[in-house]
Amino acid sequence: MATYIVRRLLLLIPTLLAISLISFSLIHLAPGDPALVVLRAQGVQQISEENLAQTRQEMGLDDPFLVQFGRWLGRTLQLDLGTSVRTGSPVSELIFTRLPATIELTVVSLILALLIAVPVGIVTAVKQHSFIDHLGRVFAFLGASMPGFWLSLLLIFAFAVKLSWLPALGYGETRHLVLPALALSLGIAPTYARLLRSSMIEVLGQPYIMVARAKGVHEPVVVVHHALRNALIPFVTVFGISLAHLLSGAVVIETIFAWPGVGKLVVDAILTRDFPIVQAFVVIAAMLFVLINLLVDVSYRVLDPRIRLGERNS
Amino acid sequence: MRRRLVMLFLGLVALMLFVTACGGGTATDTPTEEPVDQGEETAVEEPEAVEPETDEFTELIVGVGADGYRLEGDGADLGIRPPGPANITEPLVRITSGYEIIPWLAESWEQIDGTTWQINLRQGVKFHNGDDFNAEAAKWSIDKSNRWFPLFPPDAVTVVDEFTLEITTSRPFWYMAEALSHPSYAMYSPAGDPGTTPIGTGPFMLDEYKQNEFLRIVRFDDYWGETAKLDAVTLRFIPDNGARVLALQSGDVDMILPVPRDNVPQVEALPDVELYVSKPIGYWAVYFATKNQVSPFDTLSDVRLRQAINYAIDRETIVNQVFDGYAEVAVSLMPPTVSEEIDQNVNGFTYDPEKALELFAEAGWTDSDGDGLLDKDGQTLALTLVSGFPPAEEAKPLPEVIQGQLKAIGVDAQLVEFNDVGAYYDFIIDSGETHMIIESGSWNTPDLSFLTFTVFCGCNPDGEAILYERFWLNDEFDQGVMDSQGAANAAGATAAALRSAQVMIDEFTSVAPIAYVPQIGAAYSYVKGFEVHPSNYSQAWNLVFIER
Repeated sequence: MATYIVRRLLLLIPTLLAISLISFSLIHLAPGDPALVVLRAQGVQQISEENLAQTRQEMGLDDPFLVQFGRWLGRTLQLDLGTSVRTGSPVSELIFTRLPATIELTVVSLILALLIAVPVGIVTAVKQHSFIDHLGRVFAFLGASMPGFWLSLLLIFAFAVKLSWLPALGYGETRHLVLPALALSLGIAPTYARLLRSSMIEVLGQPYIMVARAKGVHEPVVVVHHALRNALIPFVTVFGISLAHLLSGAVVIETIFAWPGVGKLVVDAILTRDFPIVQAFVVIAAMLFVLINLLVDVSYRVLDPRIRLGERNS
Repeated sequence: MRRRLVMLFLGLVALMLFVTACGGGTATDTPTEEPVDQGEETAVEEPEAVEPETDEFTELIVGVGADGYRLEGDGADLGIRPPGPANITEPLVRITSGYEIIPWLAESWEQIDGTTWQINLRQGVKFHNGDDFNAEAAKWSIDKSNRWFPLFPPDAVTVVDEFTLEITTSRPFWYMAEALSHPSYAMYSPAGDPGTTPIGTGPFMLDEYKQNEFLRIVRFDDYWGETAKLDAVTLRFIPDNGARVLALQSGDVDMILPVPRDNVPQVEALPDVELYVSKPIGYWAVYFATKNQVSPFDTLSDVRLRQAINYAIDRETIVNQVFDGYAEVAVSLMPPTVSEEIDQNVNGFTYDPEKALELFAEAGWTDSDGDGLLDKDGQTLALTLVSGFPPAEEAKPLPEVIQGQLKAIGVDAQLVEFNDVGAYYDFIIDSGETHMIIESGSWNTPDLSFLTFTVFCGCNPDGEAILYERFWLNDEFDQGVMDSQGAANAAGATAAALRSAQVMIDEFTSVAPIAYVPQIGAAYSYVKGFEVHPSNYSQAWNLVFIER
């Protein structure tokens, strides 16, 4: 297992290299002259060719693509993520002061989503075709199809305007976290619940479940110990992949609740062609993504000891 | 292992899609001029840290749009977007809410000759750090802004004595006082970095700023003018329009500025909430691409078509339906608040579909096949209308309404929308695949050549007007703009500006003005003394107080 983890971690290096190269190319292929956007954003009214040329040079945009990439890579290897081309602030500082707020929101939303999805998934699978199952289906379609911004506004309207229980926006205290986390988790919980339901139904039809029941094992034990544990494996896989989805959902939620996370920073950076921020974020996100998937793989082993990580099936 | 890699790759693609798709839906309410920045935080305290010390401690919380402040390093060069609305700094010349210029940190000014202005500064004004405001500081502040974007053709700024400045220009320039009223020429103490530690002379001092969260200012007791009535003002950034209105409804904020266009009637109906509407200095207009256009994007090089489109637009309906009456029908790009004389002496166009059809027919475009669309030589009259500055999200549903009105007369207008300003510029500047663009502009100073010079003029001796080359008019227009700037008196400056406006609207017709738009704010009725300023930069927070 340890060798496997080390090997996976070593694999991070070529992976991140490939990701950086791809994202670097994509950013450079995107339309829009960064120098022009920067000048316009800075409020420069009369933009001359001279102005543009000077800005391009300052931003290092005149160099060949590979030279720019090489320069970025060299600095990044020394843990220097560069400075924002628009504001001159260090990128690492910009990202790392905001990342905790986004992670806080994402993690709490994930936990909340699990608290909703796991019971709903189990109950709708066990009581397949019952009223509860149909209700769960309605809830799933509703939650999955309702856009995040709309749900957020509804939540604000209900809990801040009408009931005055919670603040409409802000950051700092637990009560500020409730509405954004709820909005985010209600968007993902239905998918999880549906996934768990179908994988539970499949497992519940397996012969060993029949055997367990025949042995007279208590139904709750059958469901939780025998069925759920096996049904969780595809569920955990999707859980790992949904990180990207969560981060994208967080952008919208962060904007509406004025949440000081990294989402808005990155979107603004994309819109204003602030390459160093976008590039740094992509690499950090990729790293998180790879690490979480590693955790997912390790958890397979915990869930099902029969799985041998990194060993070829004989 | 291979499966993991595939998953990783798929996840990465999803991330990329997200990253590239973010252009839509997130850009919300950035006012036309305000950039969205990535500044660093200047303080670390939590917003809740300031507790009322006594019963009288009053703090006003204002829900504003996206964070457009620029308080970050390297301010000497980048500090060009000072927190003007925050009252930390002040300009030499101030614009009143009626859009007159009045002496502020300058007591008077005089044009000695065409290229020389003498500015007499106010005495006894203190900076927040206790230093005296003087000509040295004024020179430092003006030079700083001139390095990045001069609003007059700069030559030199000279200190004559402690309270006298001499500004020389590289060519005669009439609008010096107007230019100096722009917030970019706000006065800073050289002792502080305008980016991170702005030291101004305003009625409030910077207390704390957290990017994308809030900016708090506190009263400056030694203010030379009317000392602020409030102890503190917090500007909370709420870029989402719906969330901003809900924050007002829930009482999280005392007022909001601006009120989103779509929510005005809803906000107006709220109990105990007052709506504040300024005089308009902004406009929405359609610009026609006539230069360097190749077929089929050169259709509008025929002036009759540009005028026909002007006749086909029902501005009255737009003002009532799109702006809920909180706008005025536009005659030119110059709202009467900025210049009544120009507004009154430009003919403009009124809704007249028959006249429009006549002009189309004259140019050869008729509905010969009875499909409801105009055609000529077997070609349907199809025109692109591009929306992207400000981001298309903000323009909605104005382009759609114009599209509908054009369709009604037989023009097939195809909308192209961008929420990404960079992609928008690429499209309208490089591709040339555009007939019309719809934009919003704002006269941030009463300089009557401000927008005509910066946006449309090809006459600029300091460099070509590169952005809107395809929307350039002609030499006569340029001459009007230049004559206005080079005039020796107000009458001459206005007459020349009027000439350029007449060329733009009535003769060459390079634009279709749609509506003049105001600033709209809303506050609970316990907020007193507030008056919404037409330019978002000059709110006077020192006059505001709370009376419950």
